[in-house]
Amino acid sequence: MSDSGSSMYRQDILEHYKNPDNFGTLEPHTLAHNGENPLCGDTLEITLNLGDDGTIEAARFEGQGCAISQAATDILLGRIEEMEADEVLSMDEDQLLDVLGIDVSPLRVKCACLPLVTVQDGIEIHRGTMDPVDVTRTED
Amino acid sequence: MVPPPFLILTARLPRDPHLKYEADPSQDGPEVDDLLDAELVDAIRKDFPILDRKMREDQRLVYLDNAATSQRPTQVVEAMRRYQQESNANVHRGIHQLAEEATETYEQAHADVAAFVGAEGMECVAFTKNTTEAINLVAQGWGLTNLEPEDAILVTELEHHANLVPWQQVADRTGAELRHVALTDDGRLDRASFHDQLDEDVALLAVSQVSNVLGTVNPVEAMTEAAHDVDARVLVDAAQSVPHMPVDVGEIGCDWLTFSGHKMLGPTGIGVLAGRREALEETEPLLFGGEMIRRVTKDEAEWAEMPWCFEAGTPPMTEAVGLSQAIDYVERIGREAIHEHSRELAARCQRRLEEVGCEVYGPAPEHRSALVSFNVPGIHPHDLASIIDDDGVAIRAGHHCAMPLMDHLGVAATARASFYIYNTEEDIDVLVNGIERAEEVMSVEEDGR
Ligand SMILES: Cc1ncc(COP(=O)(O)O)c(C=O)c1O
Repeated sequence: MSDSGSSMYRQDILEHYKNPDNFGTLEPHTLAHNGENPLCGDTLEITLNLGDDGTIEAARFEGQGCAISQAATDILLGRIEEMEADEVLSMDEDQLLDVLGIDVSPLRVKCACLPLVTVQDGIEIHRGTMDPVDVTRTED
Repeated sequence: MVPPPFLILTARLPRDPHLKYEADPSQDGPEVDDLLDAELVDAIRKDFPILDRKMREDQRLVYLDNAATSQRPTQVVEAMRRYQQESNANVHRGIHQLAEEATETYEQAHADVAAFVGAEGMECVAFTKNTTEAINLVAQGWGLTNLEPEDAILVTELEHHANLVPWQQVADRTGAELRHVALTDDGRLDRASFHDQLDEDVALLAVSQVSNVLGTVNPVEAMTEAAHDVDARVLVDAAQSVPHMPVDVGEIGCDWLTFSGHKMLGPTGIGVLAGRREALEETEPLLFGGEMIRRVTKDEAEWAEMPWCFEAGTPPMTEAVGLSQAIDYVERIGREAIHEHSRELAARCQRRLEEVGCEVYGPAPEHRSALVSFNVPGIHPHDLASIIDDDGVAIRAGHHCAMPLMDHLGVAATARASFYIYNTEEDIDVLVNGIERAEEVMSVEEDGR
């Protein structure tokens, strides 16, 4: 039995949704990449600045969508600042959900994971280890 | 005072000719021709055990996702069980008693559907997997073989992907042009746009009778007549209309009509392609193999007669029994009465939602069938659905397989409440209370973003 729907909407999550810390666009930026969740219509435009040593110096997003996707983005971007890009690439769904600290109901996991896969694709495309795509989409 | 309505539906269980069940005339109920009264709805609810299950922390289930799939009454489940356990055999094959019974039952199901939607006879009713497959059957079996680059296919901006993507494919592969009837601001088909685009080049009109997003009831009869005036063929997607309102192929005059069993109290795994004889005769089979042939040599084959030529392989026999029983259930209540009931609920829901500040999409109640799409300002429909799920409320949230329509509305997604025979006014109360609770859950000081 999954956890109840409302328990995802804790005040701190809603705080990130309504008053995000990392909203905006970095100019200039090292890389920009977009994410989209076709099922919900969530969209993200993420910009990152990478240091020469591969650390993430700054991360910002603009976007629209459900509270889970937008709050998850704000929380994740706050967390990855100062992290090694390699570390971010190695993060998986479980680690992301740990960072969020809420029980995301199974049908909404895609919303929560959108920022992670978008950031990861953005880094890989920037490094040339992945073929460029305009936008990262979660499958529905 | 009428006899206990409970008996009207539950007492007369199976109708399978081989089970030798005779309805007890003393239990005949009243003709229901107006709103479903509360007692009848109570009786109906008893036929749907799922409505008694407890959700999450003991909440009552408020099922408002009927446009996605309806629930199934005991009668349907029981008829299918009995068929499986008492009469099962493959149809059209064996020379033994069970095979004979199974064949007769299966053919009878076609006759039941034909009577239900006013098709000329059972040869004008083919079973498919669902609406989607039925539309694909026409798209591939007629569209691909009949359309040419100078032809146009006319669809509308409110189609479900099931009645759009197959035509995109046909247009792509034949070179035919795909045209779209535009919508008015209140979500009805724009008459001028329809007539502007319906010229001599149009070889096919594909339109849904009721929109699964806006609930709009489209004037398919008049549209069919206009299309026939320019010699176009007409497919009517009746997936959302057949469960609720009287639908008659002859009266509409359309060439093909499609719907699914699972949205009208029947099982999944069965859909219907019904139509006019000449149009079906022009339609090539989609699937080839056993059951659909008359004679086969090493190099070629001759098709069986209609409708069997459309039903290759072992068909959905158990599902056909269930569909037949679902038709029986719907007919006992009466489609006029069902439509009044679900429209009345949709109208009340629309009013209540507007009162609490929701944005409601689609036309005024007089042009609307059994559903309401809406958004709560500031709350994404998926967040709303997640939160009111805690109250036992099942609504749909998303693009409802109609992305072009979402673009037209200028939203990524909507919430949708859709009603059926077992829904009540209290269901709307629970929904509205849930919305108000969601607004509380989602409220937090905003400091400008
Ligand atoms: C208008 C309309 N057409 C077609 C379909 C497709 O039905 P199915 O998924 O049973 O093939 C639906 C179901 O959602 C619908 O609402």
